Amino acid sequence: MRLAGLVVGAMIALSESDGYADIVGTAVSGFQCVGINIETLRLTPDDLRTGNGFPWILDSPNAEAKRLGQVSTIIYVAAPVTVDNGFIKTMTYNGKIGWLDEKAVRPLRRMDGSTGGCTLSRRPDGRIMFHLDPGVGINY
Amino acid sequence: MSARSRKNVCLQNGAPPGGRRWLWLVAGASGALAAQAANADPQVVLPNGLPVQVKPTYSEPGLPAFSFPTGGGSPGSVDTGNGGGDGSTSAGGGSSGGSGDAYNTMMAQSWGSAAANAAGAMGVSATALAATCVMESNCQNVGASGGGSASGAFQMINSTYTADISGALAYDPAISGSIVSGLAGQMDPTTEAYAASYELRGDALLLEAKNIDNPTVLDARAVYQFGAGAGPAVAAAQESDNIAQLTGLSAASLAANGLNASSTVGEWRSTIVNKLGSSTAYQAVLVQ
Repeated sequence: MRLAGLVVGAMIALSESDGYADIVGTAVSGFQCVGINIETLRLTPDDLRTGNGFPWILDSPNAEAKRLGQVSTIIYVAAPVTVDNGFIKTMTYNGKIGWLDEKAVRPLRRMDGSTGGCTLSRRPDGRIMFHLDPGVGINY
Repeated sequence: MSARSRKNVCLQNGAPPGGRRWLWLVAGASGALAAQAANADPQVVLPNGLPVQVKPTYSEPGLPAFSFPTGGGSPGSVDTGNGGGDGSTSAGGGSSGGSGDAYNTMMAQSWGSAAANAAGAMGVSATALAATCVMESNCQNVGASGGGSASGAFQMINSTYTADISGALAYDPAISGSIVSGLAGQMDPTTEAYAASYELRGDALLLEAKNIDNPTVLDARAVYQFGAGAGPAVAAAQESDNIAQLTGLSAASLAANGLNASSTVGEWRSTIVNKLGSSTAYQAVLVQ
């Protein structure tokens, strides 16, 4: 639950995010961006390129559940955070709701250690697009 | 830094195990390729009096390649190539059609129609395949240089080519009689087109597995350049997002691809759209 707590902490900062005029699509609420947890998953630079070791979003909070899709570096999680059986509620890039091992995510941070997130929007073709808060990244 | 040396840096900075990548030439697109295009023979010739909807069919041996506005190809309008690209042997599948400047550039080559047919056999759009050869070599069948193995119209490195041509053969065994065997196939544009199409298909299927529906040429280029891990995130990012912050790429890797720490997704997309045209860049890769 410690990781989930970290994500919750990030959500507080996200509520202060600025809006962006250049965002395309209709606003999507109830979800926020976090990053893939490179450290916990022990991902190497090669893994980041090949996608090896990237976890799957499942259709229920159960390790044996059906796979909905593999995550990328930026992951959408429910805000407020919902954790069940060690899985965090997530949304795929095409808007399906699923569950991901909570250890696979971490808050997005800036170089100074502050947390941030993103603004989400839905394109006409259904793709959920993100716009990261200024300065946040997966490496900080 | 030349496009060729950039490609070498690309290799040094993360060609994945298995070597499934082509070498990326976005950075070179505005440099070497532009210069190459400027020096190439004219590819679009529209003499007075000819109908504007002539479809490319068979090339005339001994004559330069001509390309006419097509308004989009159609299945059955192109020849079916063999490994030598002379159009004398049928291959599995059919043309997936195509349109746009990139498509016309590929179809202006003697092997263009056979390559389009290869795309169809692998279930990908001929326009998407044409985008690859335009980005990689401006559809010129060039040999390896600079110590690298990237060669051919689609500039595939040896390991990638070997893996993909094997995959293409497994996907459609009917092409076996239409390809040049061994690494020699890399320098046969028709044969390399099968491998390049198979690679493109793999990238598109990977994107779909990551919930990027109906992946476009631009989406596939994101996987190609930024990898299977971060590429889908680039495909889902807004224009003003910073590439380094969502991919985690090092400064060296960014530089190898003509990018820097402040490069945005929008800037990267513009590079490709400017090279290919928006209709090609947003063309779906997979044939429905």
